[in-house]
Amino acid sequence: MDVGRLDREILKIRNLTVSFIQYEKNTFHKSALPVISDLGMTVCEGDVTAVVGSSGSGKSVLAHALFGLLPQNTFVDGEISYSGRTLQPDGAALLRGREIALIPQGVNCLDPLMKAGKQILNGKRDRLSVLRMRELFEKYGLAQEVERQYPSELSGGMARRVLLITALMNRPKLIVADEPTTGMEEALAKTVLADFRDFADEGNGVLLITHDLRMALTVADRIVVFYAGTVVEDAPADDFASEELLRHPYTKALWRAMPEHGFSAEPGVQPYAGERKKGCLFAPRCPYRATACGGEIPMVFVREGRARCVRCEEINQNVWRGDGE
Amino acid sequence: MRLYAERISYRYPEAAAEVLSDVSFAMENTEMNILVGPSGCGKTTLGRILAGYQRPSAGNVFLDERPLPRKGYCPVQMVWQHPEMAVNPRVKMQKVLDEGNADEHTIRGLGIEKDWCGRYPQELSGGELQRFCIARAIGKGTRFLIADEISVMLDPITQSQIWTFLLKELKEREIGLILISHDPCLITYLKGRYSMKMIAMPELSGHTVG
Repeated sequence: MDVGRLDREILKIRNLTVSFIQYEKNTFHKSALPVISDLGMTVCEGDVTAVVGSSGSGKSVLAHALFGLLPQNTFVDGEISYSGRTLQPDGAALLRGREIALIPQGVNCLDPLMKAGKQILNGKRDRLSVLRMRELFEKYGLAQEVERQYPSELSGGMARRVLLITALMNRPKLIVADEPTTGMEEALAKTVLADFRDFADEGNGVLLITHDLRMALTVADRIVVFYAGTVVEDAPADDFASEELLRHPYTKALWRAMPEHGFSAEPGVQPYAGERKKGCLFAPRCPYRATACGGEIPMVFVREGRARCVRCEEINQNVWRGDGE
Repeated sequence: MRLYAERISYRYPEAAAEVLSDVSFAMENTEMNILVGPSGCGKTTLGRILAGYQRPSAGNVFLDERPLPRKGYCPVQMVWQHPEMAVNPRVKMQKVLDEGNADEHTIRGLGIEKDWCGRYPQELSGGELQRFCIARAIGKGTRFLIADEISVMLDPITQSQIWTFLLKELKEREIGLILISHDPCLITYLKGRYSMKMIAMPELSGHTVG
């Protein structure tokens, strides 16, 4: 990774592991269900970093872990730091809603009993805040009367814009957006993404969480691919121009499955959190599978990115090995 | 079999304007059509009416000259955009599957694993749930399938897995398809590959067909 990126790191996650503690069936024994394991990634100032992966890969859990919003029965280990300050375990509570803002996935995150305007202002009544809200309303094409409407009176797209405006109110430095454009029509989705782009270009960080690879590619600088609770590849978005430039077999499969690249359907599904074994979790579906895939899988640096695959170097030429992360 | 909607109008209760006004539509069960139009133009509403989930304010839906059956298995089935809202959250997935009459071949073809059937909907991902919803909808009596944005919430691999199986199945069993989608790449691909016809919503209003 180039040195310039290291200076600009705004969010850094290292060796993050998140498990849900559950009671085993019909017993008083507790066991841990790991949903994220040994995850590392960074978000830089000025960059839109997209996390892509199928549902169940741990994308939303990551977002909630960053903001300290996970339920009581979770065990979180690892290091999360924002501009050098640690967010884990309690740091996030001081910063969230101020310097770091989350745009949650579910529109049911809105309080059903509070009018939209009141939720956005979050207790503030001063003129500046109200003006800021109105300015954002105008920017995102919401009529002023939406201020006085309850969430149940809003359409899906409108509710999503209310969530977006809530996040932008306090001019954060880092936005984590969890599936921010699902349910929006194309033109509006493009506006929202363009705004993330502008927001990043002003020197802020954006972590965009999505399952829609094509949408992510239109706006992101880096793509981080999740599979079964960990990062399998971290690549510059430009590498998605062709399959050869991609590192991990799963990313290649994702690329081939896009309608414009052949729509090829590889069989198999991502293993469920309770059934994840040692070694590479993609191995059962991988065309490059080898015996080494059952062991420890290191992160390998390939060109401007990295991938978690033992055969990565054979699959890709022109490689250098980093000294681990 | 022929699915025929005759001069359908629909107005949501208390809404000022009609979503659908004087819409006519006809297709054979060997056809595959893509329904397109701007958001809010009534694509989903038309789908709901064709599948018998909603009754039009005016007009009728016919299947081979007979009105759409109000009881028993409806030959026009619909798969919804949000699978998590289309299954009962309080029953296990086996029961969801039993609501249709999917055979072993369909279940296997959609990659539904035995083990998933014992779980509740909230324990499955959107892609896994959508497989159940499709299996439930393409049971033995189905002659038409309305697919309303069924793959927007899926990652590319799951999307292509589901479509590949579904289209093969529909072709073999001569089930007619009405696809509602906004995804330009998906539309381009399917249109070229399966000679689907594009139908723009606004063109359906005003004149009768067939």
